[in-house]
Amino acid sequence: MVNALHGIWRILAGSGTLVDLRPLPGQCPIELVSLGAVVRVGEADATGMAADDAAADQAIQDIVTQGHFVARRNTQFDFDFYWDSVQEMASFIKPSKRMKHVRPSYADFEKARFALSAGGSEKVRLRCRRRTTLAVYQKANVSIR
Amino acid sequence: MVSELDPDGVESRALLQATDFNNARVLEVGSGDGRLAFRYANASAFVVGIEPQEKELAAAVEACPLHFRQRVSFLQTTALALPFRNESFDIAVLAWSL
Repeated sequence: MVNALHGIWRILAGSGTLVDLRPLPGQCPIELVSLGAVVRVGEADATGMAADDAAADQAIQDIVTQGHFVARRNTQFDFDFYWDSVQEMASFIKPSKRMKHVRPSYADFEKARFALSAGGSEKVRLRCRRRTTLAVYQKANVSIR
Repeated sequence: MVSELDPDGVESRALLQATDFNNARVLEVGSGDGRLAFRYANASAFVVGIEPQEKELAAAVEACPLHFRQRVSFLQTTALALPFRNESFDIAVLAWSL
């Protein structure tokens, strides 16, 4: 990762900006969203790449410590995924490297969705909300050998 | 498959507030299907998205709106092999890719 960041340092103009945008590892709420209600029904375990995230944090810290970039800004926000059905959600989460397991279960989500949709007559979507970080760094003039 | 991603545009708003894309030469690392690039391309001088996965790259090229095709391009490579001259970009965005 540090090598990739060195490559980015090279192609950035003087005082250029590096933006690191990525979801944070953790438990993400899964909610049912209808016109009149938002109901939390469970969560997704999004710690599947926690080790990679820690390595990324370390790589960023290394290039800042080495003086190649200066930290300028760090903010967090919620990034929302929406699905029209539990099947769609499962087909996204199951092969995902970042999001792994859900609690309590897809079957429980389906039961809750059916109940909230008054037997299927009202549209109810599923939402997973991921905390995401956005960090901004400015290229510094310490060159990379 | 996701029905909708970030429908309120929270991510792009945070990005546009965090840095000035106006007339900037932008490299997006891990551009995927181009979703994010298309949200700030309007302000930028040009955008190059790099993506290692051929399927995602093809989706980005396919999804690129006609009015962006002069200034948004996509390339299959990684940040470890950047085929660009020194100091040729003003902003590098690591889009869920570090």
